[in-house]
Amino acid sequence: MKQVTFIAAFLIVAARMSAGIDEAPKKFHEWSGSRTIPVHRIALSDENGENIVPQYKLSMPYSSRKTCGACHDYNKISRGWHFNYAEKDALKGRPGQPWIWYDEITGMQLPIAGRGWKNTWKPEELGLTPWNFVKTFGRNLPGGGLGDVEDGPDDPTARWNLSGKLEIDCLTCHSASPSQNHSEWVKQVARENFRWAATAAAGLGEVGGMASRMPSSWAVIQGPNLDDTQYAIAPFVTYDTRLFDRKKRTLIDIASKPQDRHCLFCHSVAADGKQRKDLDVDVHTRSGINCADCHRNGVDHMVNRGYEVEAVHRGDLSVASSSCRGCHLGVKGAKGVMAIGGRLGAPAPEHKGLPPVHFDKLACTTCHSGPWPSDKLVRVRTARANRLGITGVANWVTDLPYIVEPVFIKGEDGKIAPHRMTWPSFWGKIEGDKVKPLPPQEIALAGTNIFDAPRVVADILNAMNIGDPTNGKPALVSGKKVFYSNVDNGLSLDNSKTSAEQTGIVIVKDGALVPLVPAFNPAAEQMDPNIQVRITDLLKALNACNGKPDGVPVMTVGDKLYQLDETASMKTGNLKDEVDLATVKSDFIKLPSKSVAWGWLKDKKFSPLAPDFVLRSVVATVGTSFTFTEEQVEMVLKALASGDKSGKMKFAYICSGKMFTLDQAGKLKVSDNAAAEPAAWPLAHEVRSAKQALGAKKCTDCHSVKAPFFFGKVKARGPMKTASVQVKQMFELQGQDASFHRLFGLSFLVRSMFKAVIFGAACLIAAILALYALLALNRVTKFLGSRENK
Amino acid sequence: MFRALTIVSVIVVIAVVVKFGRRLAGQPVKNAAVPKLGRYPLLEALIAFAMWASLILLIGTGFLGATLWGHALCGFTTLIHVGCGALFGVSLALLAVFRAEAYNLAGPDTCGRFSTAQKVCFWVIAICGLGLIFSMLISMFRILGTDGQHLATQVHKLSALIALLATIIYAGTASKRD
Repeated sequence: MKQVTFIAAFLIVAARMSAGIDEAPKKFHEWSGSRTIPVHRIALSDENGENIVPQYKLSMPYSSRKTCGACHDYNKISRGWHFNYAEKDALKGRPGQPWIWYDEITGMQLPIAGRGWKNTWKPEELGLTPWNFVKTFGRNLPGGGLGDVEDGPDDPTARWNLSGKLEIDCLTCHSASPSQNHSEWVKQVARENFRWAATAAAGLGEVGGMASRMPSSWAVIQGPNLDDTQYAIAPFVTYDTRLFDRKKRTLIDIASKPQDRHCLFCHSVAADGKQRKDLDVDVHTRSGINCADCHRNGVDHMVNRGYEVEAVHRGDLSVASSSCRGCHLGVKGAKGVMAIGGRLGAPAPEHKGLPPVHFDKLACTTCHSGPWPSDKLVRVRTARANRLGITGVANWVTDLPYIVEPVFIKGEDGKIAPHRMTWPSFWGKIEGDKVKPLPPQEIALAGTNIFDAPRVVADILNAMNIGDPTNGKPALVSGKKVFYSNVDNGLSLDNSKTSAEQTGIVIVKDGALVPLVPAFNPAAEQMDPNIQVRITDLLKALNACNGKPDGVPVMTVGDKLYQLDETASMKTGNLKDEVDLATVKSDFIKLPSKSVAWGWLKDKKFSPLAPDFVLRSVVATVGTSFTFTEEQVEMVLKALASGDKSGKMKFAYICSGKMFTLDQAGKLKVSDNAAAEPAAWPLAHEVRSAKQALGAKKCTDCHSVKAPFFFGKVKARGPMKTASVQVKQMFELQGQDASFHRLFGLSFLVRSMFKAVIFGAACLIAAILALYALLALNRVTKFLGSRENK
Repeated sequence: MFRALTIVSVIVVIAVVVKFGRRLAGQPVKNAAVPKLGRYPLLEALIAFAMWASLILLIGTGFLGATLWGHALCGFTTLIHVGCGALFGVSLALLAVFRAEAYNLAGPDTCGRFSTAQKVCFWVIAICGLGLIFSMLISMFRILGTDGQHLATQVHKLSALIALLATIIYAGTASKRD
């Protein structure tokens, strides 16, 4: 019995001790106080904690969790601002730029933020799983967050076992090496090579293969795909062995304070149409201050965002000293040097002549940041929304989403501040007074043959580009515009305009328009053999055209119709015999036609090469930033409604601050809806100098009857070309009284006179007071003098 | 703080006027020869009316918000206040020209048109008016920085409070005078 008790006690103690060993807190490197940056000549570890042998051909990519995490608290870092967006208890903070889920084909641009900012959607509300989120936005994620979750929701589309986790890429911010390449990161994320992305971006080796092309049964442990060496090549890394020493260590060039270029990869903003030479950098940058000087953080990686009430949100007064006010004026309620301001040599603003009420109502950025307010808002492109800064063969930059600045509206602290603004565009189903977005795949399916108008025309033009004696290129002429197919199999607008009123396909040569088929007399008994060959070739080409509708290609002129017979030779027939003319319904083709007309024939029914709506869409949208027309939206809404088996569901398209639905007659109806309201986030840079501050020269910069600050128009815009857009003036968005600000603005017309009059009055009062004061003094002196005489 | 100071001081001054109003009003001595007082010329009366009316409006717009709702001037109240401020400045200056002699502290008291208390109040209002005008006028020029602007606001508020108290005493004693 004693033995059993002893053994049991021993086992319990042993178990506790072993548990104690496992649970012993890991000791991480802490800052010793030295201001030097330790040389990071270190061995790399893979995700299994194994040391990497760079010469080994089947080496795994390095893992930051295992390599950097050996000395730095990875788990603590992973709760920092850049990574904790998906956590339930994550700090909400002041709204920042949301992610914008953009789909060009379906005209979707949805602002997404895991922190639940106003007028944004949370990923889970849209059915965006961690996998989809990382696939969509991983290009600008620094890793971690949803890319590094332990247990995500069930997602049949996820391929984590192939891609690996997208761990925090410490070097994306902390590398001081010129070979740190963000574009490489983007490329690897696009290829689903998540676990390889950091290694490739750091330039430690060359990463090849694509996890996205591997069968889902593949796992990294299997190594190369021996069955396919051409297409489905398994991801691999070939380390640059020159970078490693005999102990398999490599020098990681570290910057403890991230360099600006790394921040700017994701946080660049540029006005549309501006050249690089036109940009003035922020005054802080000019004076040698880096992003991380103000936007600093500790080991917890909670980066100071720099807004005024951040200290309240985070419950940490020291954060306030990184705000504009904290740095330049000192922190209210703080003690010592923090209360004084002037941090990093920040000059104390004088604000001479500026009534203090402005400090209660405006943020510092209102006068000092962003573009100067004008009648027209500035359209900007941002790195995260418009995919700026990704270099390579492919063009990543997108025209949409449409973002404007500066919109002067009240922030959450009640102060007016300049904001960037974008309007959501999405297809959704109406549930009560809410609109729930539908996934773009569903919309693309419903909009098959509706959305891709430019491609339909491009396919026809490409098919008709058979080479001919004129050596020109087929182009579409419509609405006095000329369109030609481009290398991306899309359509481009030719800059040269034409006076031609007709719509049709012509040959463009050196800017001159030549008929596709030379003019001929259809009534003539014999046709020119060259023309006959030309027509035959074109009909054959059309017959092989991509996306050819059900029917045969035909050409008609006058009362004749030309088509191919069974032997692929041209046969001529009478138009009236071959076509039921009553069924021809087109705004662009009238049969019988005086000039050559092309189309498709099926069961005596003639239809033009491209439907009318396609031509209208091409004319309206190609060469603009619009994607489709109201007519197409109406068609898609009808398609969605017809696809609803219950017949009870209502669908809408949200765009340009409005909601578009179908009315009883099946026509497009416009209304307002909360789902169409814009997402806005404050801007802080570029900061202008004090001399260029709003109101620095005159109060009428804002206080006049037409000042854009109060009366500028904020016009919504989206992918659809429509006149029904939300237009609001700044005072409406600010919740201000327009008539008061007009009257107040008018008062500045007479302000100089006002000052002169009351100055005169004050002088008069002062003179009288002085006079009587002197008289009083006179009496006093007389009194005192008379007393002496007595 | 200023809100409390305003409320307390106004209550105290009203109480003083109610309690000691007649004494402060300085009643004429019995059997003394009372001089005949004629009406003021229309222009002068109008100026006086403008001054007192604008002063009351200024007090209303300036103090009601601050004391009752606890916030500074905003919206149309500001426009009314600024407009009345100009009228007050001009009318006070003109009234000072017209009536400086009548309000001369060295002049007759009990048998005159104004009591000593009223005279003192007038000169207090004139001095405060000067403070009120200059504190705002100077803030309209690029002279004062933020701290100076705050100081000017404080001067404006204190001058206004003293002018308000002087107005209450003036009005209170005037009504108690036979």
